[in-house]
Amino acid sequence: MTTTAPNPAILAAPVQQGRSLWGDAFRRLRRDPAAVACFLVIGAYVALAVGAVYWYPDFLETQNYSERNLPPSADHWFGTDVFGRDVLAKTLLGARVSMTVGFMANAIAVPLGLALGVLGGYFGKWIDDLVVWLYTTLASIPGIILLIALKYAFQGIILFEGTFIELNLSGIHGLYIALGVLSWIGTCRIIRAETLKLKSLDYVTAARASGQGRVRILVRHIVPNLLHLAIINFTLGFVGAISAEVILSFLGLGVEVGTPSWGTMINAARLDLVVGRWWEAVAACAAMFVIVLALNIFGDRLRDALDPKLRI
Amino acid sequence: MGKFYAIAGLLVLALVLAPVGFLALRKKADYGDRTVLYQTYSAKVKSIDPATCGDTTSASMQGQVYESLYTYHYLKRPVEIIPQLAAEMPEISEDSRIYTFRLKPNIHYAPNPCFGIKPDGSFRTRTVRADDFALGLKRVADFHLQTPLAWSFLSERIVGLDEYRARCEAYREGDFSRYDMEVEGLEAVDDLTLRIHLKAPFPQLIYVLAMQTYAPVPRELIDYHLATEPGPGDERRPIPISRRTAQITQVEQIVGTGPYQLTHWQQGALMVFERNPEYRHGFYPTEGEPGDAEAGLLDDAGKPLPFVDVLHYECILEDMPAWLRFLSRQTDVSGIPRDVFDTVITPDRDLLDKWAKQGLRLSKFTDPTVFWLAFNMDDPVMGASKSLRHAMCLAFNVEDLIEVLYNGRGRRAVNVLPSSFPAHPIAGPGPYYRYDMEEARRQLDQARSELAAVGRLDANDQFPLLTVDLGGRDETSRRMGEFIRQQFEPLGLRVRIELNDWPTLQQKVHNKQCQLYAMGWHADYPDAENFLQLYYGPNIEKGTNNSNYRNPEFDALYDQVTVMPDEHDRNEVYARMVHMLNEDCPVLLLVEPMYYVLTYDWVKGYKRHPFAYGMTKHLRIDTQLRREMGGR
Repeated sequence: MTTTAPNPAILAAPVQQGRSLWGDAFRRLRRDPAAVACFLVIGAYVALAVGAVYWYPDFLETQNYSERNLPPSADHWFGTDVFGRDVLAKTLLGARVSMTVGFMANAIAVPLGLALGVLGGYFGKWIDDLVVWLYTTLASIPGIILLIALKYAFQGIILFEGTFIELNLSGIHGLYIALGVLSWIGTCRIIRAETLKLKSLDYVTAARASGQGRVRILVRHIVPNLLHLAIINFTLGFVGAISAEVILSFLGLGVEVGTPSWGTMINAARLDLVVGRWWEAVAACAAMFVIVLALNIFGDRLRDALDPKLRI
Repeated sequence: MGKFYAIAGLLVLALVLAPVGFLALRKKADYGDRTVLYQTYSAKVKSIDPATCGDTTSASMQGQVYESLYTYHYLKRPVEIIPQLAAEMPEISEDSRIYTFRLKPNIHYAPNPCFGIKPDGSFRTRTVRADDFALGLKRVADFHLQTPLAWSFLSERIVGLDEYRARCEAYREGDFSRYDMEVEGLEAVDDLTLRIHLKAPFPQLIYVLAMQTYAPVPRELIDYHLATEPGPGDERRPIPISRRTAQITQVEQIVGTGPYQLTHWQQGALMVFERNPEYRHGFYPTEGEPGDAEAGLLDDAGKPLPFVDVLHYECILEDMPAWLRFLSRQTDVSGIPRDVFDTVITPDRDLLDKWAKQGLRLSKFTDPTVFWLAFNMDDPVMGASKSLRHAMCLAFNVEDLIEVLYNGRGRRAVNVLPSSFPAHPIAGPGPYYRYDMEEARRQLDQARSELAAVGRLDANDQFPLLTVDLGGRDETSRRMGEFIRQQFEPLGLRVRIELNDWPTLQQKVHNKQCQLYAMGWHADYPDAENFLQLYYGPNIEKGTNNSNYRNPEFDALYDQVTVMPDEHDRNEVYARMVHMLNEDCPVLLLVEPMYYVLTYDWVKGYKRHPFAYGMTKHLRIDTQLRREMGGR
């Protein structure tokens, strides 16, 4: 055995900083043309959703009964609807509803799924039993039936009436809540399984051995390592929420009367298609097709970028 | 591998074809060489019991089976009431309180096991008696049967009938001994004479008794079908009282005198009526109104009815599939869905040539129906400001509504009565049932003061959010909701549209939970009283005055007019009552709809009747022509 002195050259060299999970994922996404394209599409939809309200502030009062059901033309690129309103404006305003519903529903579902999954996975015992029972029971009922039942139950209910946080559950607020409280199951399952795995890893054991409390371990060591899953689920859940809004609006249980949405446009066009008025349905379906495709591809690429196991 | 793909391919093919095969194996209706009329209907039949009938779909189906004392002449307009099971018009006492009805002899019920079974296994029948009508009226008054519509016409009318209803409450639903209780005002003098004693003159009684709701009911039906059930062997055993229901709900329980008997009923899918072999008292009319003979409507004059052996009704809720079925010649009669209207009808409201060449014929009718938006007068906002109601009436462009959502099929309702009623022109148009935004704004300014005085403006001194309830969740209702918003928002009123299914809306209206809601009324008989009772104060409790309108002066006139025998005098009073409604505006009047009906050339004798049901017996099908034209 020999002893060696430390190499001064090595000591003097700057320590190379490793890339974080997020930084690495961002770099990978940036290099992926499909992910960039989809991100731009999503960004454009968000911009349109925000901008449409300013471009068409008085859309509901733009009816012109003498221009009803006109096909696409230079004046109306996407044609006009039954009240003579511009279908392009309606489609853009519909994007706002869809994007809002997608965001709000997931803003409820993902944190809920994350919280329940972490609690069940980490604490185990009866808490886990309760969480598993809850999501198993919910999952055993067909989602769309439950959604419809919940929307029916919400009919006519207004919470905090007259205050600035008034929630009309018959309309779009009810849609957020109904979709949110029924869409957390997938996230919860994944988070719970990942938590079960993480809590037995060495770094968590070390944290426990060093005397850290359970809450601190959860907040500092486990949840941060689950966030990428939450984000992926948020992206993919967006698609589900948009589709569900369309289905519910198609069934007359979605947004309030007068609120333009793709679901109500497709529902309206159901009557129009028979007599050859295709433009409203095509506009809504095409708008939905593009955003759903973009979200799906982006979600896939995000999962690839954030999940080390999927890297080749 | 090739074998795998072959098997997989076959499996997929088998799965795809399985439903087709399954449908092909389903037994198709086979009516042999009998003449069949094929039609669709678009709402569920809620009742097959005459007493509980309360909707037009049920009434039109029941009209094939049940008959009452009087009916309407099929062809004459203005409508004319004629005897049906009665032999003649009633004998009315001098004080107009006693009506004596003589029945036609030898009118038989459709054969039914409740009358007994012949040795050859066929069912017996019996003739109609006066006490069957008394039983029918007692059932309408039965506390245990849900008869809101039928009872609303008889309540407080017949001596002893209200007391009978009250006494029924003490009986259990399954205890049919209550039908043995005497009612002072219902007297079966003999088998063919019925006498009704009224508390006060009621000139509309004849019209009321032309509704099949008051059809005769044989006691055997109650004792056999509702009180007993099949037992071991051929015997029947009593149903325990606790398990009995008083309502007629099964096909075999239908016992009527009409031209058809219901032989098959699949709720929400199919109804089949077949010729009643005992029906011998109906004949095609020999007179009509001018033009009927030229239209071929008197070709079958004097011939025995019915012409068609089987009525095959399919329930198709959506109008577009029903329309496509009609176009493929699978049905004989159809309305025109709103969305294809412009492709069928010319701007001059005639049938496009291309359809006429395909053997279609167009008939246009204005039914005695009025649609409106009702203001709930008990609502603290709607009830508090007459000017607000005026403003909303003036701001609503009904002509646009008719053009945009009705394809021009209708006319603006200008007072609460249908325009075909004699009192309608006497009353004239209401001053607020027109489109005038300037006047609407003036009225709204006035409304602001009225609502401020009762503290009903919101914190910013603005009009509160108004809620309009509609009875439907479909696209048509949604469009109606959007249109309503478009009318009120230029006035500065904020409006929320609430879409409900129909039972929910009815419940909300009943509980007075609505502020404004869409409603309408189809005349039951050609007397303005039928519409004006919707605003009579005491009818709030009965549920027919659901705008909750109260006006003592109006109520006093109503009490006075309902006992006036002379129709001309009545119309003068009706006009005064309509003036009050025109001023108070408890409803925002919308449309008197116009109906366009298409029939194929092979359908003969079609003429829509505004009031009567059960007129299908007058239709004749040229089956040879139908086959030649590619029909069924």
